[in-house]
Parts: sequence; C-alpha cells; structure tokens
Amino acid sequence: MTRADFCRKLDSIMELPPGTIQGDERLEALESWDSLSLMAFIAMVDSEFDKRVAGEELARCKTVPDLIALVGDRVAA
Amino acid sequence: MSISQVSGVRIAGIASAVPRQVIESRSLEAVFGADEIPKVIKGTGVERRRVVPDGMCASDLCYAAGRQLLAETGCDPASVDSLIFVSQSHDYLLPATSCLLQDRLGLPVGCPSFDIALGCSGYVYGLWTAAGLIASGLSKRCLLAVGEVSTRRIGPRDRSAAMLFGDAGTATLLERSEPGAMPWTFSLGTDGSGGKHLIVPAGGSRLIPDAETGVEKMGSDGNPRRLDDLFMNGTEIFLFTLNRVPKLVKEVRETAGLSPEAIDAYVFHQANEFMLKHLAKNMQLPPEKVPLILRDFGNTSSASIPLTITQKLRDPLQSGSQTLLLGGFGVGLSWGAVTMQAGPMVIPELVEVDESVIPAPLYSRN
Repeated sequence: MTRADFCRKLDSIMELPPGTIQGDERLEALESWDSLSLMAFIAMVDSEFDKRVAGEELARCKTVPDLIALVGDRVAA
Repeated sequence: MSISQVSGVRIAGIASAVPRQVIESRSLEAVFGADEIPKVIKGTGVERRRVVPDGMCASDLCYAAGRQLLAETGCDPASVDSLIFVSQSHDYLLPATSCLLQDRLGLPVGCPSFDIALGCSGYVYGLWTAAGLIASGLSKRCLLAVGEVSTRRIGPRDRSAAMLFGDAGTATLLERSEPGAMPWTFSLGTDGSGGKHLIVPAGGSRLIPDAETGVEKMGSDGNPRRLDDLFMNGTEIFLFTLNRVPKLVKEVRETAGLSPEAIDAYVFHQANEFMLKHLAKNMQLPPEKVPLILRDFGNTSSASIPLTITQKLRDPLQSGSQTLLLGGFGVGLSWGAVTMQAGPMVIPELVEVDESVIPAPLYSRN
C-alpha cells in the first residue's frame, strides 16, 4: 500500500472527500478523528494487513505519520 | 487454550426476561449533544436498550425467566438438583445470589446453588460447568441463570458506555440426553494481564466504597466517571477480540469436525455491532448466520448469548435441531466458545417485568 492509498483510507474512515488528508496532519486538528475513527482504523489495519496494532502504541500516535509508522513496512513511501 | 468435549447433556429450554423500560439512545441528546448520538449509534449499533429501575437486580430478571421456563417445560422444581447463577451484578456482596434464587424459585434445599462471577464469557463458562456436572453424574438437571444489570454501574455522562449497555436475565435448563448425540466441543481461556481494561474499581476488597469513590472525575479517556463505575478501554478490548476470536472460532469448529457451512448460526456475545460485523466479514461468515440484537437491547454482558438465541433463533430451535457455535469474550480477560447441536427445545416468549418483581430487601436502613 502506498502512502497515498493510506491517506485515502483515512479519508474514507473519517468520511472526508478523497484527497483531503495530505499525510502530515496532527490528529487533534482533524475534527472528524474520534473514537469511531479509531475503531475503524484498527479494523482497516486488521483487514488490509492482517495485523493488530498495539493499544499503547496507538494511544501515543499524535499525527498521521505516527499512524503510518505504526503499520511499519506495510506502507511504502 | 483449553479444548474439551462432553457428551450426554442437552438444553431442554431457554427463557429471557427484560425490564419494561426502554431508553432510546436519541433521548440522551440533552446529555451528549445532538451531533454525538448518530456517531455513537453508528459505532455501537445500539438504538435503544432495556434499563432496570432503581432496586431491580439481575436475579429478579433471572427469577422471572426461570419461573416461566420451569412452567413451560413442565419441569418439577423438585427435580432440579443444581443451580448456577452467572453474573457480575450480584444482589449483595454476600450471601451468594444463587442461594437467594434457590429460595425464590422454590427449588429444594437439596439443590446445591452457587455463583460464577464472569461477564461476557459467562454463558459459555456456565454451560461448560453445567455440562460437566451432568455428564459426570454429579447432577441430573441444572438450572443455569445468567443475567446482568450493567446499567446500574455506568457513569451517566460517560460517552463510551452510557448508551451501550442494557439489562437482561435468562434461564437455561440443562439435563441428561440420550447417547449418540454430537458431543459439545468447548475452547476456553483466560488472560488476567488484560484485567485493567474492563473494570469496576471500587466495591471489592481492593477498594471499599467511600465518599471519594462516589465522586465523578474526568478519566484519562476524556469521559467522566466514578471509581464506583465501569471503566472500559474500548481500543484494548477491540484489539483483544481481534487477536483471540478468529482463532477461537476456527479451533473449536475444527476440533468438532465441522465445516463452516455445517454451522447454522454463530451466536456471539453482543459487544458492539461494528466489531461483530468486522469479525464476521474477516472470518467470512455469512451475515445471515450471525444474529445481532444490539439495536434493541444493547450489550447485555453475560446474558447476551442466551438473549440472542431466544430473540433470533426461537422458531428454528423450537421446531427442530440447529448446529450452533456460541462465543463469548471480554471482561477478565476471559473467553470461551462451544459448538453443539441444540433443539428442539422450549423457548417461552420474552418476559417483561416491572417493579412488582423486586422482593423486600434483606436489610433495614433503620
């Protein structure tokens, strides 16, 4: 999955028009990023990568790049 | 995980009871804001829940269900020789609620009665225990009472929980079966390292309730609650479920020698609709085989599996046999699954109760 694809997935999770998320945003600045988005993000990573993120690491994520780093080498530049 | 099989036991009937009072999620707009409600409904699937009035306990609901079940199965209460009450909503810290239920249901004093303190996994653990008692000959007929009144311990302004949980009580009658039936296959497990993710901190011996435990404080998740209230880390519970449940389902089904198609219904603990739909999709389970009742009843903890059975599988189970996979997972952390052939069995209509079911208290405040 490319970074661009990942950002489209985030758009979809937050019900934003495709192309809204650029890839460098702070999560607290995104009005639509809430507990529902968090659940949908966990589900997306599970479906796409068959991977369960670690809860504490997810709680420490503050930015979109943090989320990408969480998935590790599954998201290509 | 512990895998085991047991033969020689059957379910004669299951009954469910709920309080009359319905609370619509939308009615909480004043507390959480009109914008929040659709989001919560989307995440949890819960549009309304049954909620007990002050003073009503899980045992009252189980009493109503048990009384109806004994009547409709034509079972002589004197023939019940074990009673198990599964709940984390006990009437009192002591005596055990099962003892009080024994008395109320008119079961004989020769009916050993005891509690099992589990939630989401409780029904499967209850079936495992009852099946063991019956198959070994230690008991001939067991009444398994499973219920919860979680709403009594939720912070009213806790957005993560206030619109999720509902109340219900159920009764399942188990007895010996004829030889030759398919054995029940169980897989059960426990991981106490996750205990802190779903907890009511005050009320036990670690933290005796006092004036301070009753004070509402802002939680680390941004939701206000008291130490007397339930705290649930939704993220950790979701991750736990994703890590455990697919393996659990596969393991129990394969040990039982059942193909996915051979199972007529997968009845899961009704934790959260988004989570269950995601699980079903990932496990490639046809949606019509995964009944959901969260919309009208919310998350009823230990009662959710039997309540789902009585609400969604009544017709097929009354008239014939169904191959079922039941799966409960959550607080503890604890989990369990069982495959069985069930039915035909007696399933009364849903019992609805009001305050008249509440007995006199065993204490005086004077």
